Amino acid sequence: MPSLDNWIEKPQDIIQKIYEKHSGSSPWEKEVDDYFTSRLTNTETWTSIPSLNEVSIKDLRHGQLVRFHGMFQDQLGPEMYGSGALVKNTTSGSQKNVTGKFKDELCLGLDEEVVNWNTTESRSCYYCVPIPGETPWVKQIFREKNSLSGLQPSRPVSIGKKRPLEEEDDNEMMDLGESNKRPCPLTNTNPSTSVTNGNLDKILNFPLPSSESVGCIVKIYSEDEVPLNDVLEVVGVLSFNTSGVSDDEEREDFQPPSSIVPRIHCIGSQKWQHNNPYIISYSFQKWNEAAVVELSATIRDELHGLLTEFFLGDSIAADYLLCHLMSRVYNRKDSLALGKLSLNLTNVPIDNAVLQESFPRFLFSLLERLVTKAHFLPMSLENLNTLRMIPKKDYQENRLIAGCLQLSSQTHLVLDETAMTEGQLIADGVRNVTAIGNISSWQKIEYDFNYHQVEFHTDIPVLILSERRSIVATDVNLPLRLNMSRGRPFAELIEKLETNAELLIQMRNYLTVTRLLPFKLNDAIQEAVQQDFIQSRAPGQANPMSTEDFHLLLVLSRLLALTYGKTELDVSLWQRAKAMEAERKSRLSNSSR
Amino acid sequence: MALNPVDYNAQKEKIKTFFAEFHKAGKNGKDFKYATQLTRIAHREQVELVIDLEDVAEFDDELAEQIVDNGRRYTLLFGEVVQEMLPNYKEHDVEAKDALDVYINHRLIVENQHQNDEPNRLHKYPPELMRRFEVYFKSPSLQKAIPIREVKAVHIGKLVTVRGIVTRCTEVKPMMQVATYTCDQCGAETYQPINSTSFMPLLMCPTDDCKVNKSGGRLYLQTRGSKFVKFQELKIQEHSDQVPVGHVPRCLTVYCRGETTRLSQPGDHVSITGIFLPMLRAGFRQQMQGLLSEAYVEAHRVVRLNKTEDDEMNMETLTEEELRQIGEEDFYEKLATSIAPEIYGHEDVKKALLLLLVGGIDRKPNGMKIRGTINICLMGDPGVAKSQLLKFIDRLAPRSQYTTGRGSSGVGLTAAVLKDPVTGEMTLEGGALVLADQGVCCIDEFDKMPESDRTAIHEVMEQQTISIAKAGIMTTLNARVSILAAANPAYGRYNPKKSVEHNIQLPAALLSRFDVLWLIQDRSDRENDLRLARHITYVHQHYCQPPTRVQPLDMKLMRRYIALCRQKQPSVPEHLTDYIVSAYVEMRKEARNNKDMTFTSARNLLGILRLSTALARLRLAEEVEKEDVREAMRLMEMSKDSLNHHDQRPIRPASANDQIYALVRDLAGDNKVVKMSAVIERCTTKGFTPAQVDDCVEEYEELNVWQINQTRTTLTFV
Repeated sequence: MPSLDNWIEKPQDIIQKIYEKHSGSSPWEKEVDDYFTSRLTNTETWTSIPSLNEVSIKDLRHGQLVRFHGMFQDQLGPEMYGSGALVKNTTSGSQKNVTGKFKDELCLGLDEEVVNWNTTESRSCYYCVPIPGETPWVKQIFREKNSLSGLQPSRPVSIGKKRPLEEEDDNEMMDLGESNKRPCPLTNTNPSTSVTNGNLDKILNFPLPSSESVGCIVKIYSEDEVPLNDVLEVVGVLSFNTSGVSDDEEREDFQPPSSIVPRIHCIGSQKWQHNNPYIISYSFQKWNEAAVVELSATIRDELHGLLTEFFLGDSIAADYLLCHLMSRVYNRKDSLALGKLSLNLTNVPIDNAVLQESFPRFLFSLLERLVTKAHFLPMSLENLNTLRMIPKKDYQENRLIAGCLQLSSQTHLVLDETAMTEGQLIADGVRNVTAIGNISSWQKIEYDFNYHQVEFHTDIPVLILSERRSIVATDVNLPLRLNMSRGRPFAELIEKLETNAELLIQMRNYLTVTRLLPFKLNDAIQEAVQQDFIQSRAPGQANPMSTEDFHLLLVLSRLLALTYGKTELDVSLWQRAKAMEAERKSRLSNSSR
Repeated sequence: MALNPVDYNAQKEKIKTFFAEFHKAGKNGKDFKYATQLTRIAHREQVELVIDLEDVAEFDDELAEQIVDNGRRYTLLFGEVVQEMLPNYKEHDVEAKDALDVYINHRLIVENQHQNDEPNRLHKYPPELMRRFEVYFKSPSLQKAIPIREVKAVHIGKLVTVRGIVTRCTEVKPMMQVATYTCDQCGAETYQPINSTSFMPLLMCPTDDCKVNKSGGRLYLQTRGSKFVKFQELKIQEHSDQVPVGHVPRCLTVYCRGETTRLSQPGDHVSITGIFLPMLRAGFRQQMQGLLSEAYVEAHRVVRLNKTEDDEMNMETLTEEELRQIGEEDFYEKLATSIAPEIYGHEDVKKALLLLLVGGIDRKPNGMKIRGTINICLMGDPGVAKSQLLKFIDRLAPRSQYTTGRGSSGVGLTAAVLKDPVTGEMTLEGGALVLADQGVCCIDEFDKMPESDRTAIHEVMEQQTISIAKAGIMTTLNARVSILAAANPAYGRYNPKKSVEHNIQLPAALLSRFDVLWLIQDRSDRENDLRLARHITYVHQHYCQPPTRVQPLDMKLMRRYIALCRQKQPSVPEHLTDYIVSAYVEMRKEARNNKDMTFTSARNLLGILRLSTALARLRLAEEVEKEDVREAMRLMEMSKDSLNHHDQRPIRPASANDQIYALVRDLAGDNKVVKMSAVIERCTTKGFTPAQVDDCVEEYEELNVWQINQTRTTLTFV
């Protein structure tokens, strides 16, 4: 075994060594922290740790370090564990201190037994699922990136660092110890757990159906709590053969078999702002955004051109869609979520009877190739009535049953209202429509906790495609003006996009980066904007601007500026936003006539 | 922890003296609180012995602290002490109440018989077996409840107080506390105290007889001789306001034994004091899962709370800083602007809402009941933040219910008679109005409420009660609520040319029950617009509230202050009555002359009184002053203004013809044909001359609105 990788392969031994060195007194935890953070200071070592997302659990060992990125779907509550135990060897009579931190159970030899538990501490447990709605290309890239480390999990290319001396000694001792008294079981495929498919779905509890089949329970030792639905990449000790769970006594808490839902004892974590695999940035190494921003004007033109062609010549629609793709809740003020722009495109052609070929499907498959997280939901009566959209707390199992609206931030939700038919909406359906409406108007959703509702903030851009005005209220309602004489070049356009790989990557990065740019309103433009508002409300004006219009214009102009990679608003952008709104309003009044 | 080992024997002595000597000065000399209880317990008249830690602290501070730190140990210690002391308090023989008492008696007799020859027999009875009382601790009322989220490993073994909502509770089941076995060979009884949820039954008889003789006596469990205790497991979940945004509420398991069982049901808000303990596991799992242990709270005290009590417990005296804030000159304005600070402007509406929260004073002269609660109806074009105001009040009011007219049926508002699925009994379940008793009921989309349901509110709004006569249940429930309603105009936008009833499409009977009707409109005027624009751009730029002249007050402070105000009962002094009466007469006169869109009735007078007493309360005064009445009338006037002068655009006074036309339309209703005689009769009662009517008829005939027949007896609408 190459000694270099020992901290990846056998982190437990290192932790135990440090624990024994300090005999469990106070600085040992800090030293463990320091030890691992000092080794995880660059992307290279970070990514050399095998990722549970891409590497099958069969190829991983119990007790090794793994990475996992996913959405924190449920908070399982704290767990008490014995953090220190006095273990006695019954044959030799020797005693030693063992820590229970970073493990589910002590690996004791046959002749060892726990004399007593010294300390009890608590850790928080979370249930993590792969990011719901992760688009296929993202998965593909992650697979390509991480499969290398998966095939040879023990050999990162090089770490330009020498291991400290003292550790070498440790290793020798460790090897000795291993041969006789540490029968840590190796990979265990666990044939005993034959789980049927339906059951598996229930255990995994993914918000959206997914091809992946791994969820995990992450146990975090630090005091900070992770909010629900955050996306994190964690590094921790993998543990998947806990024994004796749920066999002799019925447990109420959610304890799925660890062969399906492995446990990760978190050592380090990184919060992800986005999941674009090209430009994942870690706290120790920021991605250089400047290069992407520089190109943004040209990329915007390309993208705008593509969307205009897609909308058969409707360039305003392309503008609005671009702005919609930029939208993100950048702040909340009381009930108001600033920065969101839910979009309702009406006048969607529905001449084609084949649903697979419909315009909404095409549009989604285009978006799916551009953004990193998206979900397509046909708003048919059946879906509305039967799908579980709102997450619900199950008090029997003490877990949060996911609903398809439990999505991480900036997951594009595309709703196809052309699938709607006449019929009866039952109580669940009404609740679901209300939930969608809440997301669209307030970016919040009320999870069902049986006895009361708990409000959660969301950041899910909603795009609704409908024939006429949607039943769900949106910020912007735009009738499309499709020039049907241009034919239906949708499939070809998507194909064309696929062929130009470089441009595609640029577009993807552009969308990810510009959306997160900081933005400000300087005083001069503020003044101008305010004057505009007052002017339009002066007596005698035909269309006084309401406060909602004003809010919308401020958001729209901000998003419009971002599409050009600009971080400040100027007058021309403000005028363009106003022109867009004027055009939209005239279309609206035309179509209603 | 083991720094200075505690001498538990000394502690026991201390506890003994505490029990014997603790007393409070009562009416008849010294009141020995615990000694009397011990007597009752000795006579089997009381089971539960609640030890108030405040009393303990008074007796010995240190002891109280130790109890909090090491609750489990002290429960046992107190138990032992009580048991030792009980015989001294026994004044007469007690009749056996149940089988266990008989057993205990028998055992005591046997014990006495054998005392001489086998002194060690005494130790064979586990103390738990002979005990018929339960010791519980009550934490000091000043001790704050810990959020469930904060209950961590450091609290293990300690007495904690948590608050939450009960999400699950098991049925009450007997749990074995002491198992009694008899030997099939020697007949001796063997006892096994049980402390965990499961136990390993004893098999072989441990008595000397069997051991020496190697007779291999088998033990059999005696259900009758064993001691059981009531046991119930609860799950509580933290209140939603304790959950940080974006987090799942935490749960906690609570074990209730004996007298603490059956005190709560799912859905109840409870405060639980108990000892936080790790769950013990038996056998194999104890070894393997030693790492993991679930924790629970061993309940000592379960108190059901409702929302107001909950808040009252948080009531502390106002700090000096806060008193200073309150004492400031513009405090009234400050309080008003602190209501929904995110909504810009509408100061007067907010003032009215503030008064609604404070409320007037109920009066009951000669059995007649005059309500003190203030009802407000907000009307306005869609999108003027009516709902936001309602939601804010709902959040601010200590007791409130939020409902929408569309969503709730009349039953949902008042009360429903339900059949209990288990017992089949009819039970009453309070609706929103009952639940909001002594509070505020916010009803959004009041106009969308079905007519039949609205009638349910009539009674509530004036009589403050709800009468139920359903399924054999006849009762009157209290519903002393302030109603805050929001309504949209019937035709999308408020039409100033029509009366309030027409605009909102609510009957006058209902509207008159509102003390204040307010129309909120999105008006444009330059000064206002500029401030509005600044406000919005500021929000977009800085993501926060612009700094205002007055910093909004903390919601908690407001709540506390309002609660303080509500304790005051100001009266209306004699010398003010004349002033109020004359002002009212003036208002009536004005209303008659102005052809007001609203009307002024005796209810308005009551409204003014309510508002002014609320204002006096707000000043924490004992008497209403002229200034209060003036402010109340100003608010009234402003609310009327909002209805009448809706816009800067000059209102064209309706011509006689238009007015007559409107009358005719009204008269016709859905019919196309109207009798001319009826028209003339109606118009003359409204003060028009027949000539004017003829003019009108002709003018509109020319416009082809209607036709009149040859004999001029009927009008037919085209």
